[in-house]
Amino acid sequence: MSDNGYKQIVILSGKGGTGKTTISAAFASFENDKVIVDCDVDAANMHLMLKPKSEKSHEFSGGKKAAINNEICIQCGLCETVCRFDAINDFKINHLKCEGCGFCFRVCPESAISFTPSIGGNYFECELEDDSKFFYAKLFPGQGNSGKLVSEIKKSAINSIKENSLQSSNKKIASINNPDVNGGKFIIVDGPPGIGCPVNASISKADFAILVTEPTLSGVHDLKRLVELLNTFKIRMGIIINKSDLNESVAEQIKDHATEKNIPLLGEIPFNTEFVKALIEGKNIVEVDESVKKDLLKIWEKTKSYIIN
Amino acid sequence: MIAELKNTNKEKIAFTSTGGSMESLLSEQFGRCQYFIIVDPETGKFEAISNLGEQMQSGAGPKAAELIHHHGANVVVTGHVGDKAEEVLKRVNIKIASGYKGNIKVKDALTEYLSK
Amino acid sequence: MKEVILSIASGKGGTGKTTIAASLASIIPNSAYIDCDVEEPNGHLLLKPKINTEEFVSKLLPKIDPYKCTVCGKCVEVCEFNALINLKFEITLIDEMCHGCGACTYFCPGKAITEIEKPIGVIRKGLTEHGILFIDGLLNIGEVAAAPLIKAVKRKIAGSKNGQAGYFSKGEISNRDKTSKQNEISISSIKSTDDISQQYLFEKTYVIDSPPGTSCSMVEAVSDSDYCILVTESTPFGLNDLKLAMEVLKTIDIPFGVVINKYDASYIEMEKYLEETKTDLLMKIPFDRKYAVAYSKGILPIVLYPELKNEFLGLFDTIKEKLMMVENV
Repeated sequence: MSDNGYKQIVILSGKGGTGKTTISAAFASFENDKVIVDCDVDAANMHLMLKPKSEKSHEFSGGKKAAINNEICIQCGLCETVCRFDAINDFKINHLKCEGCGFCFRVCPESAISFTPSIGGNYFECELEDDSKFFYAKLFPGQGNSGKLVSEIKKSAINSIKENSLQSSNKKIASINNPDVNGGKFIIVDGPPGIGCPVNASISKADFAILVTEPTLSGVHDLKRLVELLNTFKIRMGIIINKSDLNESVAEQIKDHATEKNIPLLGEIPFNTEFVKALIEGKNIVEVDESVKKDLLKIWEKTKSYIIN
Repeated sequence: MIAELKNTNKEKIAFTSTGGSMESLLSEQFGRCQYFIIVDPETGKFEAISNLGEQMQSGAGPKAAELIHHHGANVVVTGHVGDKAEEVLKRVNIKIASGYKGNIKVKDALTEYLSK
Repeated sequence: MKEVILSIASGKGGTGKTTIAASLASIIPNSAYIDCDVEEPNGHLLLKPKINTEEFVSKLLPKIDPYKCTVCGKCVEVCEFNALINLKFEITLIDEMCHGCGACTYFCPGKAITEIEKPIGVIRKGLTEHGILFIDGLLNIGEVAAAPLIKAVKRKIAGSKNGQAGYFSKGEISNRDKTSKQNEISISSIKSTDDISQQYLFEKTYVIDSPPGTSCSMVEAVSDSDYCILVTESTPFGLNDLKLAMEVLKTIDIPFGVVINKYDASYIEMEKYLEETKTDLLMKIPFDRKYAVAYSKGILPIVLYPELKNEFLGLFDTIKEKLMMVENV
């Protein structure tokens, strides 16, 4: 499961806006030996907060896409008939709808359709102020295979650890910023929202999942679906309730669900406008609010005790 | 028919490799390795097959299993095999020897495998 | 006048998209609320519809008849997704990889392949107590094909523009009879009790709640809409994701405007960007804990706070103006 002793922790929320990225960035700041991966490739945000000092861009090749050459096309319409994805209309292919199945390309009696790989987006290999590695990606709008891009950046992150470990003997690990934190090696993955394909890709090979939820009816609803998904992958998990005092009865419902499913409650964070303030100022929450920092540190320590056991 | 294949075929070992020769380093990846080196341990002859898995959008693992099956391999020596590929390999009776590290050459991996 | 499809989207999740979509559906006369966020549909928690029908949606998978199959390998060759594997003695399918494009079935020389249905989710239909038509899609857990389910949900929008969203029953998916509308939902009978409905121009307004992000699911949900409202929030994350969503809408040529939720005047970059790009700012909803509390209980804030309801009525007026401008261009 782990690579060179690195434990892979993925932070998920199902529903957006629960504070997942803020919390991921806070946890990451507590560790020295780490790699951070932002797997929300549809809407990557973490780099805005982590502000990498350098980044190297790589192209990500997307799926093949079809295109009709109108000079050769005899407008027989066969391609439109066979396309199951409504991607062909008036002898033009809508690239945003094309799934890349190649059916039209193969069926065209005049060979008027080309079928070639497209660029799906970019991923970035970055270095942070504390010399740790950070990966994020930008998928081009409407690209279908964000799951593949998620796998790809995770793979690059793991490879960077392997490369690093080859030279690690002559590389000094940065001094310890938080003496109260027990050392460890972590791959911290900020997961995508939802329960679909990119989420599946982000949790593959994870050692532990942290579910960040909020006490709203939709928060509970999405949390339950996420728990079900993680159970099918047999991944261990724990729950953090953010904005916990927003609605105490719903918070209780979450705790009941956690007990019922035998999932540890890692901690609760009361509603705090500092979260938004930190975002607006482009800062890590732990730099802005001492009490939140203390809460988060406690939660992280508890999380680690579950990961190790 | 499967039984028949098993009886008539002698051992042919597929190695996941980063290059096209016995001197190349072993690849830890199965589906997305660059080459397969298929060795007949009796004669010492080998065949290098380039694997297109690296460029594949999806399903590289099962496809690689299909590839070495079609080249007559009945053992694969590699780092790690995914679930879907494993399923295919089992269906076609290819034995999996996984857990090999990518820091050794294919020829050394062959010696190591045969000594076991 | 005509039927209008209004989609509500946001690059970032958790901006209040569903609350805004449900609020609009509540104040617009003759409206329908269509939840296309099939991975995490939440609209039902706010609108509390009485669900009266549930319909399973399937994707098609090839089934190979072993007696007819000669293991020629043609199907394997035409499958772009590597879902079919040639084991020499037979061809095997890896379900999860199949996109259901139908190429293998079509090209099989021995006609050995038929297609079978595999459920991917369910479409629920109902009415809220105020007579709003409610439709949502719920994706099965572990299923990766969100876009086909969204497509099926959208086909429930009967008789909309150019027949593009015309509804197909399952059997028709394979033969692509685009003109069939046999399962069209009868919606004309649903009358809004709101007495101000007479002032409005539209016969029917479909409010589509899109999934967050800019992936193929979002594109599927917002395409064919007459206007899109992008919901964002006053943070750098909100702005970053808004830019991505705007890019998508420009590409697919859908007119749009922006609503800033959880508005914080101290974050000036947002409005600066909207001004620079000449983007319509439709509404600002101030950040207020009481709205968040109402939402947490599954109550639409407009129900409790009339001042907010007035804001939404204003928003609808603004959208109508925008739509008329689009019409007249």
